[in-house]
Amino acid sequence: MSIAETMIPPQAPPPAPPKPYTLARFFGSVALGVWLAFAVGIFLTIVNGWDPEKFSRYGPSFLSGLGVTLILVISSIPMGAVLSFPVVLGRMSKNRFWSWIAYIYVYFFRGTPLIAQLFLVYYGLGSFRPQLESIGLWWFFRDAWNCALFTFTLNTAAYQAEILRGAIESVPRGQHEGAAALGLPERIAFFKVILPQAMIVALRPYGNEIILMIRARLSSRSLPSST
Amino acid sequence: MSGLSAAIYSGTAGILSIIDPFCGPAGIFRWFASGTLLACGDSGWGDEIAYGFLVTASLAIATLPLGLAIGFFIALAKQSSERSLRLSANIYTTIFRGLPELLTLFIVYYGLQILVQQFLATLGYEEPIEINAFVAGMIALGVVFSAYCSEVLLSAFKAIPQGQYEAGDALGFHRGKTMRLIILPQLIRIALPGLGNLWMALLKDTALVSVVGLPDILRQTGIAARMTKQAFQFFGVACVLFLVLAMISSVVFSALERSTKRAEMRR
Repeated sequence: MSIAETMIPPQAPPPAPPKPYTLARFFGSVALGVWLAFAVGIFLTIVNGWDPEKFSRYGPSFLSGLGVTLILVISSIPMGAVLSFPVVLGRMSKNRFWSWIAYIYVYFFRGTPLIAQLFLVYYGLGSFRPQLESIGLWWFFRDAWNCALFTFTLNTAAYQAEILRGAIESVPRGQHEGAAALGLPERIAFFKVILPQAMIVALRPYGNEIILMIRARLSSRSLPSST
Repeated sequence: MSGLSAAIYSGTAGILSIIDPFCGPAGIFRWFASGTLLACGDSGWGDEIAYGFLVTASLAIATLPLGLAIGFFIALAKQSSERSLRLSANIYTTIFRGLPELLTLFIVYYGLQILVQQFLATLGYEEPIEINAFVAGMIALGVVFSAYCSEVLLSAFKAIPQGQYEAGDALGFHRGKTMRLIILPQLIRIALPGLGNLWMALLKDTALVSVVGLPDILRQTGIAARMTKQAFQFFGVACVLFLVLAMISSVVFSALERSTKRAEMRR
């Protein structure tokens, strides 16, 4: 019988087993390689094709296109927001007639492509030129810029109305009842209690809508003399 | 082989001409629009617009399985334990959700054409190649659809509890069988509303392919509007046709949702 007189010295942990080379790892490296190749290819194309002359020729028109896009977005989103209020009121109204009108408006603008709406307004209203001239609106619809602004405003109003309606309906019933229990009139309850809470919910979809609108701007390219 | 495909083609064309809702024996345009600009045949634009409707609908239907399949694998890659696979899947979604659809379409239509041409030129084949506008539209829309679809499917995957996978293991299923029999049915049920929204967006995006020359609803009505100078009528018809497509698909989707939820309803 022997007694151990020394402690066993602490040992390093065994080396981690090598990671198996899985199929997922293979596909991952291949996909990353493809993206890297794309990035390098685009970079090289830009460097090789760098031409100050081209830049000075097309640069200004690029910039003016950017300006047109920005102005269209910045002006049509707030106008759509203003227009969406009566639509939401109609949509949530107890009156059958108004709620149907608002529903049809929203369904039409959300169910058809923006580009078809643009064509309908710009080319389509052109066939009503005599009537429009007689009521003095022809100067407005003659211009591609105005038509684009008009269509985008109507379109974004329909989408924003749905966002706002969803947000208002997501506010729990108890909030209405609470406001009523405090004796607040309905109008004040709506603006001070319901709407602030609905806006918190609506903020994120509003952000999405702005991004979608900026991208949709591209389709106004098919009208002459805009973007 | 060409005889067979020609037979299939003429067969489908024959069937389509019978069930055609616009210019068929029971078509709307044939019965209610004869003598107007929307009449069928050489006197009106009814049959051209009916063809455009067919192209739009078939483009959307052909894009759906492509986009769903790519989107499913991208969603799988996004929850993989392998970092490089996750990263590259995230790059894919970021790029194709960030690019406007029109730009993606141009990149596929013109860019792919140049790439294929250069590739064939290195092999010594020097003839101009033209990519089919339908295929280009299908690829571009499918890629955009798959990027959005992967996000929807990813959130649906996350909604399925881990215990479901463990139950599959406990039953002795291998991974593919667990996916097919346990995960996929629940995944479809959770993801269906999101996929319905994406399908509606896809239907509207198909209007963009008219800019690369595919004779879809918008292009056919545009040609008719330019020839007849009755722009409002024809673009109005185009909008109505898109609305009809949207209505049909909302009916189909609500039926699908009801049928996937029937297990919950019985309780």
